[in-house]
Amino acid sequence: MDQLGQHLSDLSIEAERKVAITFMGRIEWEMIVIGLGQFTLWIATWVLVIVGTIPLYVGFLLALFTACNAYLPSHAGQHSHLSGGKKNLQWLDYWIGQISLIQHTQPHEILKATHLKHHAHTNDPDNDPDFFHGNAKNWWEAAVSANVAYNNDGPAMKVISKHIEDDPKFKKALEKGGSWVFLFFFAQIILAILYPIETFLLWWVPKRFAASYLGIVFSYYPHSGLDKGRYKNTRFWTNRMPRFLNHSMQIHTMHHMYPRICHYDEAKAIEALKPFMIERGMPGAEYIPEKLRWNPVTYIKEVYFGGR
Amino acid sequence: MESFNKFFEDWNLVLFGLLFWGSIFVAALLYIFEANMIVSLLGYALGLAFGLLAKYRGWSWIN
Repeated sequence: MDQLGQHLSDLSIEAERKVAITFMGRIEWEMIVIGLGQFTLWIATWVLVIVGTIPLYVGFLLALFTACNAYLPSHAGQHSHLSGGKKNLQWLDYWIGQISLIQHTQPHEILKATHLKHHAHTNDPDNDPDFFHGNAKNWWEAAVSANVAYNNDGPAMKVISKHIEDDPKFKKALEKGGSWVFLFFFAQIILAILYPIETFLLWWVPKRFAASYLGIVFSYYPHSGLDKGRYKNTRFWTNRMPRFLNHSMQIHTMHHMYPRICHYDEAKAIEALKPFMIERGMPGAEYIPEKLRWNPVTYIKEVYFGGR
Repeated sequence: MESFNKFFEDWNLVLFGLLFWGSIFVAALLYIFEANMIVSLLGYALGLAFGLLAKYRGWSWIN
């Protein structure tokens, strides 16, 4: 901290990077545990429902819980947090990310490619695939858009098609994920034939619910109505619920500032970077409490209501 | 392989409607509406219709 303190009078970009880099590079083991844990719980839920140990409605509630926890481990893999950026551990980024996404029936490679486009073009309606739920008129529209924007002629699909035409690497990444699309397609059909109601309530409904949850909490609240640019495209916000129930997306702005900082290190990174955030005019930075670790931040109301 | 990909691209929503949603509709008719086996098979027709509607409206959310 002494070392960090020396930089506080210097609020240059270089000084900011020197502080930020001290929070990068570790293996985010918490996300590995969550990724494998939620998938194991989901499989166990299927087994327990089918053998009749737990009723279907309990299984449904468990599946909702696991679906809502399925994306973030893949997200950590998309940013190489699971390997800590080490080349010999990159298989962790891919496989933990992919296993965790099985309930969402999404290929990790495809979500990685589209998510990196989101980072490169946040809040740009022509290039950000998440723009349409991120900038919906209200939370309900965001919930719907997260599911329908990717329809064949949906607005997100048009953005993705544009990137396919313009960026051969992006196109290749999407093709690499294609085999998982086939696998998920036939797996859902086979299970629906064998266990129709269970497949509907343990797989299809939870994954659609989770997509809406992600659209609201990961896109709409942090990004709606904001400008482009890494210091301006994300806000601090609250919906009066403890941030631990929202995957800490209240402090998502740290992720857009430095995506290489692990999710579970964001709170302490913000504590150190707060002067730089205020200096850059990041939306809501002036309301950041001194102590963020274990702070539920249920009270940054001014930012959410004032910032929209 | 290319012709399979083209077929899949064109008809995946119809196939999904028929088999995935059809199976769910059949189960719903059987267990919720207590229809007999013959009537419940209409669920597959409903699934096919849903799949065709999805294809023409581009509703990939059904998948």
